Amino acid sequence: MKDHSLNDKGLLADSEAEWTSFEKFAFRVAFGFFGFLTIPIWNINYIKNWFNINWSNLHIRDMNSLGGFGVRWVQIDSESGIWGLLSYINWAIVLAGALVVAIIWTLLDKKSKHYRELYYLVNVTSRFTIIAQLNGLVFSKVFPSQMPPLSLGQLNTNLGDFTAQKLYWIQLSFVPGYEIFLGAAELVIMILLFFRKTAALGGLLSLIMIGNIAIANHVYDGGVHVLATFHALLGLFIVWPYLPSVWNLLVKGKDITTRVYYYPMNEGWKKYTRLSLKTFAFVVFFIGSAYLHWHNYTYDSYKVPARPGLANARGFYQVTEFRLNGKELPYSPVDSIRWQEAAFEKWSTLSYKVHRKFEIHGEAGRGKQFADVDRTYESAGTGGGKRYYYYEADTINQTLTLKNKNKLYKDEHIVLKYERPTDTRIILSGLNEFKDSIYVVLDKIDKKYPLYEGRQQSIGYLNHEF
Amino acid sequence: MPVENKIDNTDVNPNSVWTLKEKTAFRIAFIYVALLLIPNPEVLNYVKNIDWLHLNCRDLFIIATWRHLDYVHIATESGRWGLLSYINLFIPLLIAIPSALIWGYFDKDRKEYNKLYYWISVLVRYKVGIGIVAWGYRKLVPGQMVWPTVGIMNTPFGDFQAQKLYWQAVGIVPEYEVFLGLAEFVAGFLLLFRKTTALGAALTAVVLGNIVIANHVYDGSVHVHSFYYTLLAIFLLWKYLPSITRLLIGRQDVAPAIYYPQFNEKWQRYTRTGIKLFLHYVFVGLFFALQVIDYIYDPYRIPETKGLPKSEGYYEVTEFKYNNQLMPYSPLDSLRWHDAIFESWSTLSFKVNRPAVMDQSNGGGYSELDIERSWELAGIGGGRRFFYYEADTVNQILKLQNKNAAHRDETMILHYSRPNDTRIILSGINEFKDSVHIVLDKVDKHYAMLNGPYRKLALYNKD
Repeated sequence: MKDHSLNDKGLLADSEAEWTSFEKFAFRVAFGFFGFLTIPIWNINYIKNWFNINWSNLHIRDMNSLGGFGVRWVQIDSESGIWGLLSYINWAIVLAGALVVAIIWTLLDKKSKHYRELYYLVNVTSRFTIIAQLNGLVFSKVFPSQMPPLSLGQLNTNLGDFTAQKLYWIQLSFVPGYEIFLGAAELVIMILLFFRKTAALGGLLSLIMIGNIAIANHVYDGGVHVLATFHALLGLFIVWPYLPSVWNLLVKGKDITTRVYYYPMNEGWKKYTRLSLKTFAFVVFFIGSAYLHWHNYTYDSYKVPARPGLANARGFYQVTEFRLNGKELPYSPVDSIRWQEAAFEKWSTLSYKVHRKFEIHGEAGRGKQFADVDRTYESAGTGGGKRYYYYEADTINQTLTLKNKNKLYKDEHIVLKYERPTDTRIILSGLNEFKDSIYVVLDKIDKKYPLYEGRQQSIGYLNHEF
Repeated sequence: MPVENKIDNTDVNPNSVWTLKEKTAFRIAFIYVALLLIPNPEVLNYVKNIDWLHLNCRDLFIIATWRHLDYVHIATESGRWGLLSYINLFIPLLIAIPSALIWGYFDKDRKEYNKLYYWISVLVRYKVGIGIVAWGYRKLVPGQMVWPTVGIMNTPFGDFQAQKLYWQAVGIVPEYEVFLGLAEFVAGFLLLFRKTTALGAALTAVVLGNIVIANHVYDGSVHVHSFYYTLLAIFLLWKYLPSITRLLIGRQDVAPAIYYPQFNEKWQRYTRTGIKLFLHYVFVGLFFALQVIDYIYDPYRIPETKGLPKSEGYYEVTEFKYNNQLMPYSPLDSLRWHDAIFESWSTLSFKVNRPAVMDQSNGGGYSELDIERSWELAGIGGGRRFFYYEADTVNQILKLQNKNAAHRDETMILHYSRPNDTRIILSGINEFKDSVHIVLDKVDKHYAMLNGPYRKLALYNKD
């Protein structure tokens, strides 16, 4: 950007000064790129979403489909294609297209002195793209459901048995206060971007905060790096025209004048259009989204299975006795069949640990699934021989029908009978996944977790002693 | 240094007369900030004992990040983790307010404090800049959060104190730690130059402000220290705030007016350059070199003495005799080991079901003694015991001592034999003077953290 000096009125921003030819060309490319990615007129499916939604019965999933659109024409199935540089390939295609458009545009348009109106337009669409895409992530943190509380299974999984991706997510699962804070910080970005006076600050914060999230997603294989990088990039684009002024003011200590153009929208029909569009956006992306996420958090937190587990069964269990085809197996940490420990969750999940390799269900347990068996926040990205099963309990015949939550083993169904001779003992019997008969006596251990009670000086393994 | 003094009517004019409110606010701020800069006597004691000929990174770190004065110590939960832990940043304010009023009474005719404002800002700039560069270096050369030990890999998630997971989450991604270190380094380094003060202060306030919050929620223990930097960064940023607001929000023209003193005399310029070069040499150049040397030869969090050769790994306890009595495994047993771990350095850890005082620190490293390098045990509950050992490889004897500061009286002397590559047999007298005979077999472990889909192998290795 050219360094314009102060004119006599100090209002160069609103002048008709001509841009340099480089500025014009750079803008044409930027307009092609950001315009294509933020103005949905070419994306019929996205526009259809607005009409296909059941507006009388909204769900947070609907906010996803209103949350803008990405370009995913090409997906390269390699490490780099999923986690690395090649995952940005679709942007390269858009950029190439933008270059072609810019060249043709340059050849055809010799007259324009500047594009300040178009610049203003794409700045606005960039701001509202972030708002439309970010609100779900914001309000699912403000109402902490994006990283829901840990399962007992997770609490009893060794640190080394999680993938890095999983650790990245669950490090927020035991500090809901921090999750809320991070959500609130992102909400500040949304609010700042909503008003044009504060949009520059919003862009700057988006660049810094969501840029950091993008980097974190890269190093932890978190999986949402493309979206996060997009928001950082949009933030940079929004704050771009202010950067020379910031530099001149803060570093050089020069007198400066702003040159950022606002398209006048203050009179007549323009004013009403602006006000109604902004009100609409505010109602949908702020109030509506906040309400839906609050509702979801309160009644059916989307990553936590909905169905309640066996009554009063929640707990961490030691395997007091284990019989395989009638023969008792003693405890061994290297046994591939004998369970080493088990956990019943508040919801209908049973997990146990054996020393046998299996394929890890790699995804982070993201997404907004309907079925409990698909809500895998508690089990995805976890190794260490821990199996997670969704179950349906038949409390009359006292049987549990178990389904493996790991998508790679989703056909694995087990039916076990259960008995509960005392409050703390559960006995399971039936055929395991290899059609061998098992008989398992589980005893609940009353365990204290330093994670939640770490401020106490003395923390042992169990608390029955103190 | 040539200086431009800008005069205009939109900003605080350095040549104009300050209002009474401005003068009063400045006096309070001046005394408050000056009090905050006084180092803690512990720091001075440490500095007295530094061996200047064999300087290591610990020495410079303690100087660079010198802690403020502690007036009182409150040993309650709130005093350690909560609101009361800020008491030592609050007391100086109680001192500053009346002192400033007295000062004002005797200094009524004063028109402005431009010079004083400038010089206190210089001190704060260097204090914060040097401190943040030091913290940045610990991550830029990724030694502050280290790669998880075998013990940490095999500890259940719920058995960690929250702070440990906070630190260890960064330890598993060294490249991210380098990035975070870079962010801190840049913030601090910008503060070491007058022209980039505002950028550095803004970056410091944002980065350190977030660290304050994170330290609160995770009980990370450095919330006060981080808040201290945030506060001082805001002090530095204060005079720029009106201009920034006017530029970004008001879309108005801005003519900044910041006072700089003139250095007309030759000796003034030489002194200034000399001091600046010296500070940069020690705290930016030399410190970096020392931190790199530490990282390569003896990372400060990790014990230095090598462990038994080729013993590193996770072991199941195949057999356990207590006073010649065979004991079967039980997860409830308070004496029988549930498992055992040899690190690549001289630490042996094992798990029993017995409460212990948990080390709530964030991992030590100020001491050069192996037994006091407590990263591997700090913030870990769940019954695991960590013993430092000295091996007599001729007589095959391990002399062990509990590393936990609260249980350091526990010692063991165990004879070891290694019938094959994966088996270690220990026998001798345990910490309760009872005889034990323990057969350990190494378990072939595969960690998802290292072998997850598309995941690269561990980057950190002590050897």
